[in-house]
Amino acid sequence: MHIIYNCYGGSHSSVTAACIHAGLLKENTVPTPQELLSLPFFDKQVAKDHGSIRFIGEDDYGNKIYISSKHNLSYHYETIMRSIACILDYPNEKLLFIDTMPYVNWLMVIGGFLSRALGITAIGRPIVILGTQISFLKFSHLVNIIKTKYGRLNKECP
Amino acid sequence: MSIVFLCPTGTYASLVAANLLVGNLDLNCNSQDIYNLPYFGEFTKKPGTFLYIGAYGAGTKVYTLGTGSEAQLIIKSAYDLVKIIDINPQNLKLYDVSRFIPKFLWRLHILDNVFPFFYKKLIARWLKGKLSEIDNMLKQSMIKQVP
Repeated sequence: MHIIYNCYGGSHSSVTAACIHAGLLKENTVPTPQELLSLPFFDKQVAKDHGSIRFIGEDDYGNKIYISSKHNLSYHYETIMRSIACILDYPNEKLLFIDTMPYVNWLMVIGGFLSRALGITAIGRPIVILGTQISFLKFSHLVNIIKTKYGRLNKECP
Repeated sequence: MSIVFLCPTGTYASLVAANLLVGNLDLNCNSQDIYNLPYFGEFTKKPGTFLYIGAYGAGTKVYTLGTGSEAQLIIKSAYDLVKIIDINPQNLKLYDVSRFIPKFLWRLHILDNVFPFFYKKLIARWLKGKLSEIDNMLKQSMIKQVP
């Protein structure tokens, strides 16, 4: 199964959730700023990267984990991508789109805007890191639900 | 192969481009012919709705898809999706035709709620004026075979 975590810019919330899912971050331990900054694509994507689907890793069940950005398309992003899969005759049950926006707090929004849209990383990055740390357990909870509900569909844990 | 035309609703510019390609419209049609196209101006609040318009040549299916105002973002995502699900990229061609309806007309979309008949007529007339440009785009992109 291909699991695609998506958020506005594909830089913070989706990266954090995808990295928890792929085992790059421990589930129940809030990461340090250095750990967050060492994640692939964390606070790195710019406008021209938006829309690209990036591979993050595989989970214990062999599912492939990706991140993507969708701007303000909201849940329409999933509808549109599923329509394209349908046009290609690809089975929709092999695709899973996870919206991480409901777990994004105001610090992440403000810090992400300053860092990514305005390029003021010196101010934006510490704010978005603090916001990510505050919401971390929510992302962890989301990933747990996804793993429990859908992850095992690929294959049973060895 | 599948050819997909993208515009914010999937039922205005993309519908005209798709019908022009499959031969349901020609350059001599009038705005009423455009207005009378099946699904013209429908599903305006449902991005993601795709419509099968017809076949063009051997084995090529033509669709329209509504993408909101993010057609370019969706094109990137769609081509990346094609790569990750391991499908031949040649099987999908996406064309953004949003530019054939200017932003001020999209902003007037609020009229669609109040005077849907008037708004659809307005867009049909506008697209009638853009038919040759759309046809040129189809030829320049080598989608349409030049006789």
